[in-house]
Amino acid sequence: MKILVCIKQVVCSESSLKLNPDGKWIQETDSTEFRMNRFDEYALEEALLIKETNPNVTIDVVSVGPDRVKEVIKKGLSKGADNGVHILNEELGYCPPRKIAQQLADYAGKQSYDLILTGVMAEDDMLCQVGPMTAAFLSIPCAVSVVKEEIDMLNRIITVQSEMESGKVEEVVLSLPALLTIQTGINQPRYPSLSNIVRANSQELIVVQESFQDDPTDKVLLLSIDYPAKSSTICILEGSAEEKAEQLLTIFHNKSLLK
Amino acid sequence: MYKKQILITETIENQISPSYKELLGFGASIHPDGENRILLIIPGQNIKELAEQIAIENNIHTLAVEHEDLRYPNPHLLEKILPEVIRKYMPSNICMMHNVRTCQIAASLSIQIDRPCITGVESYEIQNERSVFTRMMFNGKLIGKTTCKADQFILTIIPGAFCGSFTPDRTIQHEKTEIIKINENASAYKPIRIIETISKDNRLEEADVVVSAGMGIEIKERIDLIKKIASIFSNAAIGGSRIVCDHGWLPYACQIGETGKQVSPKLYIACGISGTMQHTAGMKKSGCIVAINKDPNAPIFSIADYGVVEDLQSFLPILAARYDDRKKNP
Ligand SMILES: Cc1cc2nc3c(=O)[nH]c(=O)nc-3n(C[C@H](O)[C@H](O)[C@H](O)COP(=O)(O)OP(=O)(O)OC[C@H]3O[C@@H](n4cnc5c(N)ncnc54)[C@H](O)[C@@H]3O)c2cc1C
Repeated sequence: MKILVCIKQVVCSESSLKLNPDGKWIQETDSTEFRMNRFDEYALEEALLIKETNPNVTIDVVSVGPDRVKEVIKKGLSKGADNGVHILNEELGYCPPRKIAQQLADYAGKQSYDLILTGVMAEDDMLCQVGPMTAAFLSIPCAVSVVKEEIDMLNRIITVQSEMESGKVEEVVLSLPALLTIQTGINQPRYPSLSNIVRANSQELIVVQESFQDDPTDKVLLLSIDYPAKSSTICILEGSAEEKAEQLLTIFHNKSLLK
Repeated sequence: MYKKQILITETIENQISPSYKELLGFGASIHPDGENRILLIIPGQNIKELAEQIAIENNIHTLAVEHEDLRYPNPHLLEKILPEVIRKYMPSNICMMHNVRTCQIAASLSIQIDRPCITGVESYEIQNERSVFTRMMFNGKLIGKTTCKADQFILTIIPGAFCGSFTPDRTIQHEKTEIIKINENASAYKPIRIIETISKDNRLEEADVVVSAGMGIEIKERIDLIKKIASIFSNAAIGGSRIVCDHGWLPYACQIGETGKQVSPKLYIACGISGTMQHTAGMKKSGCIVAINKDPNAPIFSIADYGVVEDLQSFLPILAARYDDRKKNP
């Protein structure tokens, strides 16, 4: 059984984000920190768990992007993926999901994977589109926001729990090959093991040149990015920590909420 | 000239999601200079009567799409059925309320019918005769403006972002219901059942104050600090972001947000919560929101009433100590 896990390298949004002078993307400098998209960590872990409980499973991790994404592919290997695939796309800045999905599908279509996993959302563009678009290009069924899965290789089906709003989940059975977008909470992602780190450092990645695409004339364009406006009525408390604590207690007291 | 808008709503076991009203409001407003003709698609197992009723109530054209497997929202089946409907009606936009399944439908349709798709739209404006859509990016730390040369979009709309209500236009009769019954045997994606996972414990909903922990607490042990702060109020409960619950630091019954509980206490204290829309969907209706976060640019500050830019590790003990002092020396 062959599993492909699609992972994205995203900027650490915990750190402060600076905008490019043209206001079209964030500034990337040598000190900009990147990491694996949080949701993809869970997708990779799910693949690793499947491998642990089923015979003959190989896991490929793939990422589309410039040279720096090699780092996140190596991270995937160091957690236990078998092969790393880098689809080289030199475009820095915003890359529309359609383009990423097309590259993934062009590659995956030639490899006959039984299962493709992605995170439910990328933390940078927050679009939730790459997974379902890749499935659409490949004409395979897709379930989103999966919080549980169980494979039945004999009958080539997978039973999944797809999360809905307000604490509901829907149970669905998909035929394989299928694509799942994975939600957090499905597992606890592991840390890389020492032996896998050593292997990841020496293992060659499979590098694929991006497939040629006509830019669709109706391409979605990101015009600009900016910081959100603070709430116009917000009161930012000033002073020392002690003074802020006092101010808060006064607010709580005036609302008659304190014991 | 009028424009046609296709709106697609969700139903579960033939119950329509109440947010369809919001969708109608958006559909009526998107082309402000002219008239919008609306086609509301209502998929379901047995939905014709409901579709007729909604058509009459709102004086719109509805289309009931029926299939046994549409008793739950079924993106896979809809993706197969919709391209033909869309080709027939040639709408200028196709809009749905935003959630992960409607994103799936939007993304898949976008490939199949070759139309641009923008998910998670929070607002839009016309700039140089083009529609420009605003949406959250980078876990809410930035907002992006997106557009496209084409003028026909597939959109998912964030619930609560557009409050424009829908007033039925009674000048012409639009009211009409059509029905499509699907016979297709969709074996690649079989819905089985819906399971309720949320706890019936109502303490969160009933509390006057919710003190909520995000990843800013950094370690599990700091939940004790959150508990300590909750204990200074006469009726408080503890909540958390999804990630905190995923880590097992709090039970899932405490999760606030789109996929957790929706609360509206008198006071909501967000401790180290970044404030993405998935979290704020569960608490933005709170009476008063206090956000404590060490990052002055955290998106939670765009909905907070009071902001405290501090590190929780040092600030929460100070807050607790000051409270104790007040108690001792009132
Ligand atoms: C389909 C879907 C559904 C989802 N549903 C939900 C949901 O129902 N509820 C939910 O909460 N999330 C949900 N999420 C996840 C959501 O997108 C965010 O990832 C999550 O809410 C982030 O949690 P957080 O704010 O605790 O963590 P982070 O995003 O990691 O933020 C931590 C915050 O703490 C601050 N901080 C760090 N250290 C300190 C410190 N020492 N002192 C003070 N502040 C500090 C940081 O500045 C940051 O703002 C969903 C996501 C998806 C894709």
